[in-house]
Amino acid sequence: MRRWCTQFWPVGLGLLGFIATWYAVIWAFDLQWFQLPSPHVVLASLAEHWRELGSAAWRTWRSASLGFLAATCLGLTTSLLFGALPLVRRVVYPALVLLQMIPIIASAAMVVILLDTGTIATVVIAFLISYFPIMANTTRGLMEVPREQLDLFQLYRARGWQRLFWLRLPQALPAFFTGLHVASTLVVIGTVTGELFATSSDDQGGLGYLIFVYRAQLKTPELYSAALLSSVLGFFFVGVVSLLRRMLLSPWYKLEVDEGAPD
Amino acid sequence: MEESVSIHIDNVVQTFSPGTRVLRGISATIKPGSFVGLLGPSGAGKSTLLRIVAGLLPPTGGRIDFGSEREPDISFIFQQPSLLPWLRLHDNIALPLRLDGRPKEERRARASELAQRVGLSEALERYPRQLSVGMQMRASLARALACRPQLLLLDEPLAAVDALTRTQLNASLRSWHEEDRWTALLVTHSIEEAVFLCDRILVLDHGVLAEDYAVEGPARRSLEWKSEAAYHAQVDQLNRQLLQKAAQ
Repeated sequence: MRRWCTQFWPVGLGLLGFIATWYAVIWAFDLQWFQLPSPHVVLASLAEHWRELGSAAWRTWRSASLGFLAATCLGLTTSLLFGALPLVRRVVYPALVLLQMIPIIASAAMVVILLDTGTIATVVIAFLISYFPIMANTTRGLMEVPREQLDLFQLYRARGWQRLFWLRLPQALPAFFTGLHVASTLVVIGTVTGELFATSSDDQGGLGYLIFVYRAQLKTPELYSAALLSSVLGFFFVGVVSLLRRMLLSPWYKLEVDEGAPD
Repeated sequence: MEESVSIHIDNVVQTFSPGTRVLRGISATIKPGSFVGLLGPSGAGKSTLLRIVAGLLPPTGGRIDFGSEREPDISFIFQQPSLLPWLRLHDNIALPLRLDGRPKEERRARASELAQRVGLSEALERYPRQLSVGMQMRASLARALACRPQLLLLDEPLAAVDALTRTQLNASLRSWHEEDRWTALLVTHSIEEAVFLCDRILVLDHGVLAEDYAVEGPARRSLEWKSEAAYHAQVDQLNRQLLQKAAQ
């Protein structure tokens, strides 16, 4: 309990500071509720529209999870393919980098034109934003094996699959989790952005769609509630990845870079 | 136990880029079961020669022959322990056997036997990051012996450990060699270490074999030998010869 308190009091302090600054800005610039609602107004709006916001958050979470899961599976598979076949990596990787350079708004528009609006389009957009960090980091991890370890496997006449699965893959695990961490911070942003494009007025939309509607209706406290829920969803993904990383790596890998560094 | 092998180094040349000749035609024959040291200043080509003998680097010219029909079982000990951080110690020690497809029971038994030999029986379930550098180096030695090698190549294996551990591990290395009789080729910067461990010392200088020195010492060596006059005389003699070479 004491350790928990020691670890989390800076977070609590930061949160209190943030809320205090929020109130101070409203007071200092004399802002109206439709310009910047105060935190208690946002919380009241969240409670009032809980049913609508909750079901939208569920739909956003579902799309983000499916996209994230698909990106994890396909990102890992592509990286293993690149690790096993360097020629394929040299041919395909630059093309993937080029695709990654397309802004997510443009990708989202293209996906909606191709697949029409709906959940599948949102999942694909969530996948697109999560895939590259996972694939790129894992590929880097697979390539960055210390020379001595490669020499060791060569000396003991290891086969290609032994080198890939017993040396390169475990060596790449920390980098894979770095990729997952980056993707987890992006996936909700991508999904919410995707929902702006991929939801029609006939569909039941996610948080992105609600943000779009609330902005049009000047429902600023509701808009902030939706943004707050998006942020909570983002924390969920980051938290799950951090937990998995700790469980799988901490026995053998030094997680903290130095004392006080964020995990 | 496989028989140890001889090494015939025949006019080996290594060029890394046009104008960078690291080895300029090295020839030597190393008898089976002997412990040979490679001494010389940094950049003399010692580690390069070791990597060529290991088959990790194809020579630009010349050849290496082990005097046997099939490829010998070779183990290599690097400057760093190079243990796999995600494997517990017993799996690290038994890695060569795992790569060779040996059953789990055999791997565990061999790892336990070797851990006992290097004084790490209590640490078998630990991960490398939970061990000191000295303990990691012991584990690296145990791993190198796991496949019962015919040839052991050592590239400054004790450079990173403290002086006391280094002395202890040197004594252990020599006694294991006396028991198992694998052929050994050791790269070192330490004349004292080379004279204690080796039967013969090859001095490399600017990519050529500058000196071939036979160490005169007892076949069975313990740390007591290091306090004898014969040991110190040979260390001094080799030291003088190397200083003269450097001055030329």
